[in-house]
Amino acid sequence: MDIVFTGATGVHQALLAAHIYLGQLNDTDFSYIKGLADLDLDSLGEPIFVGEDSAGNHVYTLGLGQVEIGWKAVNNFLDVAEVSSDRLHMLKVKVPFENVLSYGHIIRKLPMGERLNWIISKWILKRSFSDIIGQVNQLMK
Amino acid sequence: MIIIYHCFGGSHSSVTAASIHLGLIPADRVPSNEELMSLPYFDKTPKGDWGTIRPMGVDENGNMVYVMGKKNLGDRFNHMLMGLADLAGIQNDIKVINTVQCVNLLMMLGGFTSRRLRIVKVGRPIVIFGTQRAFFSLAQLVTNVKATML
Repeated sequence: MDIVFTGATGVHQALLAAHIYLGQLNDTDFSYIKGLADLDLDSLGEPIFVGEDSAGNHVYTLGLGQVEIGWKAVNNFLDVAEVSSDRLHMLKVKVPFENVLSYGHIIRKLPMGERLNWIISKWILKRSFSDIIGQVNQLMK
Repeated sequence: MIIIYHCFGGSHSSVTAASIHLGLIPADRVPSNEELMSLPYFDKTPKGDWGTIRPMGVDENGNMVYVMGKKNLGDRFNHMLMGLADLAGIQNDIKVINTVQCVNLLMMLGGFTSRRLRIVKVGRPIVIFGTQRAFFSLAQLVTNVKATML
């Protein structure tokens, strides 16, 4: 089975959720999370491989762009293609100010934009960290 | 195979392309207003319908043809679906086609007026005219899609 954590981007809360699920992240030191807030990595819109869990399931993240439409579209697609959740398990991770995260590509164009994008991303994700842990626990039940 | 034509609203260019693909309208001449309006979903979808994949029919080779409106997700939508298809091991059974490249200004203006502003009497004639002008471009797109399936 492949497990796919989704969000507006695949490099913010979905990425943290994937690392939490894999047991690789317990606190808000995000500095070693490869690809965090990296919107170039997210720009293609393809699933991003994060790791493999103890059961051998591959864990990915996927940025949906616009969460509600994207979520509806991918689930519709999996229904139409008859892909069961035993084969591909999709999980939605939400945080407040999610739209701000996905506008990071605009923020990056401002003076000091790269730094600003990182600071804003980190602030939103730190603020939501316990909530993301709760969502991962809830989703994996 | 599953073939999904998608555009901004899922009402005009994707529906027209899917209809050409299915032979609901001939590809060698511009369809009349009545022919376009008789197509399923043409200028009829509600604005909250984004993200819904709707069936249009089955083509001569048994492929299922669908349409969808994905707002401004752009080509990201292709990559999302093909990426998931790849994970599921069905990438060779899926074709996702963005028809927005064929959309002209009249289609945008008419589509917005008819579908978003709900001023159908004004928007519909404009979007029909725009679709007629874009018709051969859409027909060529379908021809290219079919050529890649041979």
